[in-house]
Amino acid sequence: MKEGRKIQQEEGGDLLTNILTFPILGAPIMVHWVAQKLIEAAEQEELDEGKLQGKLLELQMQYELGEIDDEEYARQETAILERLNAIRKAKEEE
Amino acid sequence: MLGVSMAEEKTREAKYLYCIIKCSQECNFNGVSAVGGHGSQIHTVVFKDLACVVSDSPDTEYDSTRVNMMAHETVIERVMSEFTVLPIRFGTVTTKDSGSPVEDIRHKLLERHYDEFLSLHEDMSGRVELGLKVLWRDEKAIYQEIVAENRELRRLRDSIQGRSAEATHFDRVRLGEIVKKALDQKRDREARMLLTRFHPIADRIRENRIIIDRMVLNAALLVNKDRERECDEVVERLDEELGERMVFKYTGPNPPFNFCQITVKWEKE
Repeated sequence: MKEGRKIQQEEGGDLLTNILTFPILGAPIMVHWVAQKLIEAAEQEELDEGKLQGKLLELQMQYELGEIDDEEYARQETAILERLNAIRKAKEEE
Repeated sequence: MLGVSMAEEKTREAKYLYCIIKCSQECNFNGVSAVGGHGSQIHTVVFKDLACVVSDSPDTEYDSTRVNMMAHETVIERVMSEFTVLPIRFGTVTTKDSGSPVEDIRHKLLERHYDEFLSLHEDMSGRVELGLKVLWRDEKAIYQEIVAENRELRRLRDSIQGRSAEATHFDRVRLGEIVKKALDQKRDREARMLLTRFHPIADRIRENRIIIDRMVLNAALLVNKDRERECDEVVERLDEELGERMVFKYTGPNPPFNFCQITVKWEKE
């Protein structure tokens, strides 16, 4: 069952926002509503490299688990890396 | 492709670094492609009995795409089939200002840190890194357990039911906090239980960050080569015992990224 290789990277995901998006208690409770607010806030405030790297890791994990295909992986990876590069560029120009 | 298009504009003026090995001869490694995909030969830069495995590269920043990172790791694994490796962090390139990238590697890296590298080499020699990621198979079932195990959570859930979003805002935030805490505790308990089984075998264990909610354990194990088989057996047994509840993603031998990854910072003279 041992596989040949994997990718290592530091930095991890984003637990609280994920957990709140999970429809744990069903529709009537609308946990989603809070979750969405939190995610929006997170996207506004946390435009930093760590978060995006966490997203990248999460994406890799989904890919490893076969939850997304090559095409979807590549699409999301490009989007995340473009944002990362934009942030790095902005930092350099500061 | 972000990195590649940048790369094409520049000439090959630098070296991309993969790993450090104990080897006193200049040599090439065939059958693997350089990071960046520009077809350059994987070769060594030697100082005394240490060598740095490199390829020619433009002076550019490499994006951490899966393709690039896999290329980095594949080269190191190829070298690992013949040598004990000290892996260098992905994306390390010599600086553009440098008069001679080869001299930089030889003197600023290998000579300056010679003793450190030798002792790291000794530390890694005869050992392998194995990766173990464990995930709950069914995330929903885990949340159901949490609800079943937590009376406060059930009470809060029931009190929210039927009331407006505005009126229950803080209750719902509180609900999220309780769930998060319960999940963390459950994960921690199960991760400790799993790791106990490896303590007698592994020389070192490193726990990396949890990437997704249903992840229980994200660990790297440093194991003596002679005990690798034993470690495989523990994972096989765990899979037999717990396979219905958990998925085991077991990889290796991997380059020891988690136990001796080298980060190079080129100093200006």
